[in-house]
Amino acid sequence: MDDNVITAVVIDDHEVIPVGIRVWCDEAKPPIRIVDHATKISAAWTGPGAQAHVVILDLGLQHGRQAFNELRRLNESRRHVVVFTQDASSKTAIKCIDLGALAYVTKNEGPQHLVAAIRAAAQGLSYTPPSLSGAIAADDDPNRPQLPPREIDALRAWCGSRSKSMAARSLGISVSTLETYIERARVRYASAGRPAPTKAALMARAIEDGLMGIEDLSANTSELDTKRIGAPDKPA
Amino acid sequence: MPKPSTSESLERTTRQLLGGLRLAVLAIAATVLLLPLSFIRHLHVYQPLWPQLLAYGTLLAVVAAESVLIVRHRAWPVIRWAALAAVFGAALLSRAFLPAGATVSAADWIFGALGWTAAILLLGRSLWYLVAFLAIHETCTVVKVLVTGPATSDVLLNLAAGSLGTIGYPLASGMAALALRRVAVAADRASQQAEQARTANAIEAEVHAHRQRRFADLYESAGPLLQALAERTIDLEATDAQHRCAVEAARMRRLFAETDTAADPLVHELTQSADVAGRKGVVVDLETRGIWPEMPVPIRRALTEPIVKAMSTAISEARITVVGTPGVVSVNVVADCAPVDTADGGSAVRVNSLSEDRFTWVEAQWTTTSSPP
Repeated sequence: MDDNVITAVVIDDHEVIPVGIRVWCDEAKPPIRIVDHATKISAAWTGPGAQAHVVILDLGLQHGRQAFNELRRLNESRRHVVVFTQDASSKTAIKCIDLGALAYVTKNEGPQHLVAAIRAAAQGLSYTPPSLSGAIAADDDPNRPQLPPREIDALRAWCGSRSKSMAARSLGISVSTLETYIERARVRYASAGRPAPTKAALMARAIEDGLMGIEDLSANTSELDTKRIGAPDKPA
Repeated sequence: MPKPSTSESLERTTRQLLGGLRLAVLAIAATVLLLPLSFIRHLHVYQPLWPQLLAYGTLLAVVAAESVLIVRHRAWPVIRWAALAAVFGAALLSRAFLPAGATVSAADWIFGALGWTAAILLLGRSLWYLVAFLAIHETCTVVKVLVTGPATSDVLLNLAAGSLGTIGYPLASGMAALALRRVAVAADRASQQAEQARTANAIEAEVHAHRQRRFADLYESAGPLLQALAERTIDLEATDAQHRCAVEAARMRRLFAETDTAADPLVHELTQSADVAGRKGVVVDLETRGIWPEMPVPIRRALTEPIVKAMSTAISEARITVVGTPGVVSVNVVADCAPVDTADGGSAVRVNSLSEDRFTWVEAQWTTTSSPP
């Protein structure tokens, strides 16, 4: 067995979803191997799923209850989670990345974004599909990280165009610059809210790559810490 | 019963209607008290004199106070009840010091004056207060006559005849006040209904004018097309004609959508045009992110127009995205459609159209005047 093949486990309470994901992953080049799928979260902790690189988690797991606790526990164990869900609400999307999910993909975004998200997550990297991008751009939570206008423009253009090259053209920047803006916005979110191992890793990677300076993050977090004094109901 | 919200206007109407009656009762009370001079004529009878002067002064004070209140268009304040107790006390005092056998005689000046003074104080209140007061007054009088006075047939006749004037007339004025208050309630309700009807008429006229203006816009574009259809001067097999029809159909749907009170008119209009595209077999996905302020109809139209145009030429799929960020509302569609003329938006709305492979992305962006927080 090739050790380089990305492996994933699917937790979803709809039987048909894992079947579809498996087809998409088989067709991906190079393919991604789905090692197990189940309706219960235990499949991510035991059996072949315990060793999978990526956990693909459906949020609406247990009869309408959203699997936030499951997501938090997976992150605490440094598992790489891609949330794949029917729930398109911005609040849920933001909450999932706050809990440490590396990507949040809505079910109508299709294979292109899910496969990209799984590949990024396997390396411990985030992926921001258009819907999540729009949710971050439009986040109106008073405790949100402050994003510079160019990062908001980048997120909005990516969300609206669903094409990084068109989004970059409309803003008069290169695709790599656009990706940098999106990634920086994403890292600002990683440095805010709850501490989670995957988020800490994202921040460390961003600094290593020179994507952001340490002062960028510290300015951002200290601003947030000050703000959070007035919002005690948000757990640190 | 009037509703609490209408109590103020009801009070005003009641005050207007009761004004005349109040003035009449004051005039009668003052006349009864001052004109027949029965009090002055009997000054020599009263031994001692001071209780009568005190009682007379009390009643006169109430009449004087009522004159001032009428001039100032004011109702009696809470002091009304203290004044009522004072005049009743004055009556007890006056009666206590009347010579034996003088009750209900010409010397018993307060027998006639008390009822009208009470009417002054109780006219604005429920009739039952006045009824109760007059009943107590009459009972006291009867008891006094039976206990202390010589209950001769002359005295009893005096009592009966006097009671008619002292009890009956003030009571009649109280009943008139009750009737007027009922009229006031009805009048107030009628005036409010008239007001509501006037408001509803004004709104309806405005809505009608607004609709006329919007339909006028439609006639300019859809009118010639419908005429061409009726006259069969248009080739329905031609792609161009089909597109014109598709666009006008979407416009009409959008116009009809404007008339209903959907929670968000922008999204509602986009949903309507998505429905039109959906009927042509285009798979449409609509996603909204964030919030945006209420916008003027021309802005909303400028935002949706490019999207509607792009959708009308979409072949198989379209993704509409609305993103509201602080200060900016962005309406997007990505579809396998023809590029859209970007000069469409007007000054306030910027339209951008880019194509790549077989997809076109059209964005209409409105920078709201309010600065981002």
